Amino acid sequence: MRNINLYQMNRRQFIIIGTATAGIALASHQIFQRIKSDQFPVIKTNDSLDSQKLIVSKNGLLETTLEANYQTINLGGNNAYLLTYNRQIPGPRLEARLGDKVRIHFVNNLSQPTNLHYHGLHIPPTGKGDNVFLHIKPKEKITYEFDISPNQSPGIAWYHPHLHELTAEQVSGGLAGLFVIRGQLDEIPEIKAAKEEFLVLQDFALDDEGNLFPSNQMPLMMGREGNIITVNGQINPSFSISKNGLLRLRILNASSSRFYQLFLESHPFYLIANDGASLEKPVELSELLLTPGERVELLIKGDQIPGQYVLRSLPYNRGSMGMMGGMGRMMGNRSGHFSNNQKPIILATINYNSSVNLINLPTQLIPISSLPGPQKVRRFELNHGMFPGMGMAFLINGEPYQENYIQTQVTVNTVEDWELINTGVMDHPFHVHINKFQILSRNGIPEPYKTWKDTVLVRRGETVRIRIAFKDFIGKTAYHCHILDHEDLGMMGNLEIKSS
Amino acid sequence: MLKSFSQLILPIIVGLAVVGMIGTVYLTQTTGEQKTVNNLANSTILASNWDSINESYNGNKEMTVYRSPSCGCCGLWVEHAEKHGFKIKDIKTDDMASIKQKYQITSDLESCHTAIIDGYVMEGHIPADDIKQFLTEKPNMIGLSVPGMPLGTPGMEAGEKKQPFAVFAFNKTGAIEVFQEYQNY
Repeated sequence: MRNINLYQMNRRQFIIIGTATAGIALASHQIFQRIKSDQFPVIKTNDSLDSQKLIVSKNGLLETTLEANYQTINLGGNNAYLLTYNRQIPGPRLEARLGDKVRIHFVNNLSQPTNLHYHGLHIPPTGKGDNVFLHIKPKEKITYEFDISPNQSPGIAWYHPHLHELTAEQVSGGLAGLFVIRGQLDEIPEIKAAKEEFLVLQDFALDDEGNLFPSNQMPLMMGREGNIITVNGQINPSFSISKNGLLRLRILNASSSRFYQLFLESHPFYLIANDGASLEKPVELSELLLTPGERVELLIKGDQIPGQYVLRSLPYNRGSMGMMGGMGRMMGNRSGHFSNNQKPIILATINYNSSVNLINLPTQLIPISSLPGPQKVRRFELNHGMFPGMGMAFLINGEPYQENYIQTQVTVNTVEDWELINTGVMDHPFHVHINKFQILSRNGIPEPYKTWKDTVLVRRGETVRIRIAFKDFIGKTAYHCHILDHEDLGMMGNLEIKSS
Repeated sequence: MLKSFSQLILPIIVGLAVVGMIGTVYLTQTTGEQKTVNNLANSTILASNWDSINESYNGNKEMTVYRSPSCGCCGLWVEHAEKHGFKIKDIKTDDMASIKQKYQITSDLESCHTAIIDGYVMEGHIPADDIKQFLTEKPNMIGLSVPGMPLGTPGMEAGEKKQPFAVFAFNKTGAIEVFQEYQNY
């Protein structure tokens, strides 16, 4: 009798807290109110800066201020309380050319530390470059300064926070922007004649009040996905294509975990670039899977009956455990397109407009030379499991990320083959900072075409072999899973590129 | 009088429970070939609060667990259930989808492993004490579920990371109610 009473006390004390009927509906807006409270007043900013959606280099210099703020954003007619760069979703698009100098005055108006990662740029990983080990404290200002290398492949790069353990929270809150490098591909006549559109795909997990769900209520093991899906900060925006013309869609997946299986009604895709690097010739695809961090460039032919065509994301199963479960009840179903990835999601609508003279597809793009054979071969096994002292964690070669430990050491100006092996039950997009790689094979089957990548999907059960050259820059950088919750939970390694 | 006595000795009991658990080490391999790593010199030893028994139970203890062979956290949950006295028939299968279908576990209730006891479905990382309470009550339901894989649940312990979660009860008409909720634990 006494025992039972004790156990009930124990339970009450340690287990049941909260009302019995409330479920897990938590007042996340209070958390938001707290994090943007009086301690962190909204700093008065330059209005002209806030309205600038495009910032282009002038006379060889790209100079701007970027401020990370809490900001109210109108998403589909409702207010959402998000994290923004210069009060915009997505952040302003930066554009530079090879050889340009870049100077970014960064201000952290968040209540937590942050930093910037220049995903896809081939710049030094240290100092004021792509230094993901910087902790920029609240209210702190810092100037990033680097040159766009002549060895940079022109195309789509992007910037986002990369502070380990806060990356997913900050990126899924909205912090992301395009960083476009103009170059050779833009000068091919057919591509120059095509209508260019940028699409930044972001999803936000919002409650009925428009507040972000706190991280600890999100399905972190699977990687959080949002219930509101936006393209350029809009729900189902429209783009136009000219009859007989070409539309060039330049797409970034800036979501922290969501995969997009892209499909456009009646129109095949002609893939011309991956992760900010051109292919050798267009590749025709009926659908295309875009995982977090990846970028693609697609040409669309305006050769159908004029009308409206919907760009969708089709269902894709990136893990077999239904781990999004429960979110339907936890999150307000405001938009009506709560995402469980079991139904197609409307991303955008393409409308035909007036006819132009026929533009053909380009036949040749930019040649890609093969990398020489590797000096070294390494294996990276991706999975999750228990680790002593940490408990459940995401692991590379059985180890979670440890900040003060160099997991992989390579020599600058050498070539290596990396075998990426997924022995787990979820797909993992693997990203290497600073240097791009070529995909050699998947499960021993050679890739059908040559391509440069910096993020590659390794499906569950799959082995992907990549070849990477560590060019130009020395210093400590990182590789990790681009499902950013997996990165934050340990699926990351430090990569030291040492001098020869 | 009994109640005040309980309140007094509660901290002592908790203290004992913590000391008792320090002897336990979790070293579980996710897959057969994965090496066990123990290069963290002074790694903290993990223990789980879930293993202390707070619910008495005299009913049937024979439980069948279906799980993927590669699911490490499922194995840890099996160990948790065993520590509470359940006798586990551990069935490893690659076709979990048909198990979920057979036992009417909808996608929003799904987790990794599925356990069956007394004709009830126990889906995911449910604390064993809740299963005991449910089986004692024998409600007219299909069973219980902790959807997804919240960090901190039994078999999903992750140091200080403890996500709030609920144990849901569900019935044949698709109705779902909160059986137990864990905000802080």
